[in-house]
Amino acid sequence: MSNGANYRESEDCVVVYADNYINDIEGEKLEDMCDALLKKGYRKLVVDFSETDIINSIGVSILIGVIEKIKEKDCALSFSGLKKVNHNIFDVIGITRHVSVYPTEDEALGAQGAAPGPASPSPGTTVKA
Amino acid sequence: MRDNPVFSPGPGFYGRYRETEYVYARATSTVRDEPNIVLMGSRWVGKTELLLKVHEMLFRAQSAVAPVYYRFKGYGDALDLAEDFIKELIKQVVAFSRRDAGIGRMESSLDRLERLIMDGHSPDVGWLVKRYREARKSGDRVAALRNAMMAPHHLTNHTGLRVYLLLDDIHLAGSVRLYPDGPSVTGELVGALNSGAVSFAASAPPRRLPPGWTTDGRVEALTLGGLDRETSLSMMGELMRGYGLGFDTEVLEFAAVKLGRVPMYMKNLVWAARKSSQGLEDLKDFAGLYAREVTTGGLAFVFSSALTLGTTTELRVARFVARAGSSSIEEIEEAVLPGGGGLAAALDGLSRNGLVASNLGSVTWTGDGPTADFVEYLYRTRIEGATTEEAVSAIVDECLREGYRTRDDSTGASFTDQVLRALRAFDGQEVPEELLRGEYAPAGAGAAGPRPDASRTLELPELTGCFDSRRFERGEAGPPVFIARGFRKGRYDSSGEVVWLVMVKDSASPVNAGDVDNFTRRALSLARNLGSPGVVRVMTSRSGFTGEAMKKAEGLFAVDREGVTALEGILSAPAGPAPGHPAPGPGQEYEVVLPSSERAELVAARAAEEIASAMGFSEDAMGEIKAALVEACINAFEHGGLTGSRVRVKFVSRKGTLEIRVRNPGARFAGKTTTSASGGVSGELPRKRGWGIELMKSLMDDVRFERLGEGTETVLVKHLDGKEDTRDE
Repeated sequence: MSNGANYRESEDCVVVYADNYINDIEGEKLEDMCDALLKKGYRKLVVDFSETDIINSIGVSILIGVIEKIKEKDCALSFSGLKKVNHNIFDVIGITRHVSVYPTEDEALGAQGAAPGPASPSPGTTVKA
Repeated sequence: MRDNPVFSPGPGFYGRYRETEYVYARATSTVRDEPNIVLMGSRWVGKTELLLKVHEMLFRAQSAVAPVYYRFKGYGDALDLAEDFIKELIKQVVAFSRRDAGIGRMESSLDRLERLIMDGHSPDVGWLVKRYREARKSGDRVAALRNAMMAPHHLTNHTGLRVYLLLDDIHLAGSVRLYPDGPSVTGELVGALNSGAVSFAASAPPRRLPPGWTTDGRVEALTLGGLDRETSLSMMGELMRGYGLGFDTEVLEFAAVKLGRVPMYMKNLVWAARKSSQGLEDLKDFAGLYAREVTTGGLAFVFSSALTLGTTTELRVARFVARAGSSSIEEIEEAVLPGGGGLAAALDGLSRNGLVASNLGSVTWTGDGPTADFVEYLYRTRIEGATTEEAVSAIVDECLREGYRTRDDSTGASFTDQVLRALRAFDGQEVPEELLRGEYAPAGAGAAGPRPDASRTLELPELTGCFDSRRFERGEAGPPVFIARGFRKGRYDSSGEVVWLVMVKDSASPVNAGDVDNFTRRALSLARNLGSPGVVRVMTSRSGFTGEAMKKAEGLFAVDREGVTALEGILSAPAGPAPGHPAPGPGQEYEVVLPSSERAELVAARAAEEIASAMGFSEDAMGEIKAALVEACINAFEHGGLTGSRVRVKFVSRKGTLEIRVRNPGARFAGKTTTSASGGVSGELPRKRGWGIELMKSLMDDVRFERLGEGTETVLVKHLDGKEDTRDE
C-alpha cells in the first residue's frame, strides 16, 4: 500500500482513514486503497472520516463507486466519525441508506466483528437497507 | 507555665531547617571558643525570621541558654543604645527564667524592671542596672556602652546562666555616635563582640558589617539566599491553596524565581493575589500582579519606605547599573552624567541603600530583581515622564518576555519551535515594526545606535499555511527557511497574497555576514519559484546578529530571541480588532479571487470560515457554508472555460446574513438540479454525478443563480438564525 492513505488492520477488519478534504484526488486515493485491501482479502472495511472537514460532490461520486464495488464483492463497508455536515450530505444523496454509519471507529469495528454485514445501529446512525 | 516565645517568626515560616538547626546547635554547644555566627543576606531575604525562629526554639526547647533577641535601630547616642540593650537583656532573661513570654514583650522603664526583678523569682540582675546607672551618671558613655555589651558575659559569670545573643541588623549600629560629632560606637561594639566573652548570631546585609569587623576565625559568615526551589513552591502553593486561589505550578515556579525566592516577596505577592481574588494560573496573571506590586502595591510601599533615592542623579545611576548589572565608573559617567558631577555622592547614597557596591573603579548592582523593577518604575515616571500605566505596562511586557523565555528553556522547546509557534499565530495582527528590526531592546533600554521609529506598526498576514522550503530548494546549504503564506488582512485576492520567507538560525553563534548572503540569495530564488507578488524576508536568530550582518541586512527584517519572545507575547494577547482594521462584522464586504489551481476552493472556504466565525455562526453552520461554497467554486471552475481563468468570490455580511457571490466569467449554466431525489429505484445506489447544486441548496438557506453579461453568478445565502437552526431540530 503506497498510495499515501492511512489504514489500520484490526483482526479481519481494516480501517481506512480519510483525508481532511475529499475531492477527486483524495477520493481516488481512497478508492485505490480500498481496491488494494479488497484484493488483499479483507472483506470488512471501515472508512473513518474523523479528520475530514469537507467532502465535495466529486469526492462523493467516487465514494459511491467504492460502495458499488464492495457491494459487488459482497463485502461489508461502514463509515465512522462523520462530522454533522458530511452526515447531512450523505443523507441528502442517499448514501446512508446503503452504508452503516457509526459515531466512532471502535463502534464500527465492534459492529463489524460481531456480525459481518448490517449491524445494529448506534443511536443516531442509519443502517443500510 | 506560659511558654509562648517572646518573639515569633510569625506564621508561615518556611524552610531554613538546615540553617536554624545549625545556629541552634551553636547556641547550645558547650564547646568553648566556637566561632560566633553572622548571617549575611540581602534585605528581606529572611534573616530576621531565622533569628526569631532560633529564639523560639531556644525559648521552648531547652533551659540552659537564655536567648536574647536584639534588633539594632536608630538611637540618639551611645547611652540610648546602652540603656535599650540592658533593658532588653534583663527583660528576656527574666522572661526565659520564669517562662513568661509576656515579660519579654512588655514595654518597661529601668525603674519598673528593677522592681520586677526584686521579687525573688528572677536571676540576680539588679547590679546590671546599678552599674549602668553609675556610668550614665558619671557621663562616661564608653563605660556605659562597654558595660551594656559585656553584660551577658558578666551575667553568666554572676548567675551561671548562659546567654545567647541574636543581634539583628547589626550594621545599623554604624550610624550611632558615642557623642555628638564623635566616633561611631562600632569600635566599642566590635571590641566587645570579638572579645570571645559573648556568644551570638548577628545579621547584616552583604558588605555591610561594622567597620573593623572581619569574618575571621572568631566569626563565621553564613550566607543566606532565597529559599530553595521545593520550599518556595511549597510555600507559595500552600498559601495560595489556603486562600482558595487557583494556580499553575509552572507559573508559581517562575514567580518564585522572579521574586528571588525571597520569602517576604513571595508572601507579599500571594497576599496581593488574595486581595484582588486573582489566581496565578497563567503568566499574564502573574505579570500583571507582579507589576502592580512593585510599582504601586505592597512591595513598592516597602521599597519606598526602605530606600532613599534622594536625587535624580542617584535614580539615574541606580537605573543604569541595575540594567547593566555591572559597569565601570567611566561608563556610568558617560551614559548618565555627561559633563555633570555628583557621581561619588550618588554611589555613596546607593551603597548605603545596599543597591550598589563599588570596587576598583567598577560598580555592581547588589539589589535584587524586584528592587530593580521598582527603580525602573521610578525612573520612567519621574525622569521620563511616563504615566503609571505606561510604566506598569512596560514591566508587564518584560516580565512576560522573561516568562516565555524561561518556559521555553525549561520545556526544552527549541528556538525553531518558538519561531514556528509565532508564525502560526499570524492572523492579521499589527505589531510594532521595531520588533522586527535588529536586536530587540525594550523601550528605554539604552541600546546603542539609532532606534527605529517605535510608533510604526507592521501588519502581519492572515496565515493560510506554513511549511519549510526544502522541497523548493533541494541541496541548499544554510539555516532552514520557512515559508508562511497568507493574505493581507481582509484582502483575499491575488493582490493581497503575501509570502513571508523566514530564516531560522537556531545556533549558539550569531547570524553573520555569510548567513545574510546565503539567505538573500535563497530568498530571491524562492520568491521567483513561489510567484507571489508580496514577499517579506525575515532573519531570526537565537544568538543575535553580528555587526557586519546587520550592515548587510538592508531590506531584511532581523529578529533575535528577545524579539521573537516579545512577538509571541503580543500574539498571545487576547484578540481584539486592530486599530483601523475592525473585525469582519455586519455590513462589510470582502473579495477573494481564486486562481485555477488545485484546492483553490479551500482558500475561499477558509475566508468564509473566518467571516462566518466573526459573525457568530455555529460550527455546524460554518461547515455547511464551507461545503456549499466549495461546490459553488467547483461549479464555477467547471464552467469557467479556458484554463487559467479566475473565479471571484465576494462575501457580504449584513444584519445577521452572509451572502456569498461566486462569479465565473465563462459559460452560463442554468443552475437546475439533475433530479429531485437520489437513486431512482429503491435499493439502487445513488447516481454518481450532478449533486453539486442540490447539495448547495440543502446546505444553505437560499441559493440562486444570476446571469451576467458573460457567465453566471451563484449566490449563496445563510442567515444567522432561522433555517439552519430549525432544520436541525
